[in-house]
Amino acid sequence: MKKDNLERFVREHAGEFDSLEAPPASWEVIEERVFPFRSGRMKKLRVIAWRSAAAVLIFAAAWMLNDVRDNRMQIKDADRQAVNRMNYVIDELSDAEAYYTSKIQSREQELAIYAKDHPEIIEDLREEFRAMDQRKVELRTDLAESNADAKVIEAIILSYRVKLEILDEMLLELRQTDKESNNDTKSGKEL
Amino acid sequence: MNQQNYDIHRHLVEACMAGNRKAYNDLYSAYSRAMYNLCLRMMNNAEDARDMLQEGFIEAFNRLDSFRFESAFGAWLKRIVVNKCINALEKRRIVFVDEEVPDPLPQDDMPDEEELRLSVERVKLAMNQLPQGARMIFSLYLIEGYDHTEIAEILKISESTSKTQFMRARQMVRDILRKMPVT
Repeated sequence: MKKDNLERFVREHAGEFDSLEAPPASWEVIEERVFPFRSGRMKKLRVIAWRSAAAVLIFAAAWMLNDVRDNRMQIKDADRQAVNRMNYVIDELSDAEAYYTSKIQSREQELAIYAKDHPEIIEDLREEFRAMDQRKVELRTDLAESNADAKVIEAIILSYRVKLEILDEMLLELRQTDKESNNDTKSGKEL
Repeated sequence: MNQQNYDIHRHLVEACMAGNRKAYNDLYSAYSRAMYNLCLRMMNNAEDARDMLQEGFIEAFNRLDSFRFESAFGAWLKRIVVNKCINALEKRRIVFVDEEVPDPLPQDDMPDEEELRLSVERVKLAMNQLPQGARMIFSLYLIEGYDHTEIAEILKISESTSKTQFMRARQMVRDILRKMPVT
């Protein structure tokens, strides 16, 4: 019997017929149907991170556009005695930063444990925090140039507080999810 | 279908069974492309294919406790997805008719590859032009790797009908390829 080239060709190239990717949103639909409750909560967590981080970025950007440039002009003529005051304020700021950094690290460690099965949440959060840290670098430049203006300091502290609030809100949701998951397992065993 | 019991994704299936959420996502990532393309071949429509892909995975994940590793997970999942597609088509009364084909089709001259200008894209285009039943049998036999006994069971037709319909489908693909302009 003569060999069938068409059949042979299709069999040999069968894998190449799978050339299209599945629609990206399909996983979310599946996840929602298989894990309806928790999927909604994970979405909420991602929204928390985005919403809060966006708020601080908008605040910082708007403030910088409106005020910093004016202040910089004034600093040029300011009393140089303010340098001493600036050094004092920067010391105070360093203490506050150390306090918030320690709190944030502790929250991040706890979050990493709860969200170990959801790397997308951690990645979203890191992305938002990276953007906030970038803005903070710019604020630090403004801090020096504005002679430690109170508004710059407020913006820097605010960025730490927002991070802490984001983490606290996410942890609250994750602790609740974990509690419910444990209850589910317990109920399953009882059945 | 030639199935291997050795399953490269067994660890993922076991992790899913243990309740690891990330493993579900990994399992989906491993099979979604193949399953989506299978659905496209069965349904010939992107929207329907997406729906069948989702329904197939949802059923597989919900029934995961019943999977006993007697076949590869991919083969088990594929069968679920194929059945989803068949059921959807049956609901729309696009059913495969178990017709008797009295005379075997004349054997083609078996034109060589040069005449058919075989390429994956050309064969896909030709398959898209096949009637529903012919496309399903052609795809199930040559691409998904089912044998005629399995296809007969899936489509609820006789084995001889599966064979005859496949030969017809193959001949139609050849005819379409011959007439298809070279791009």
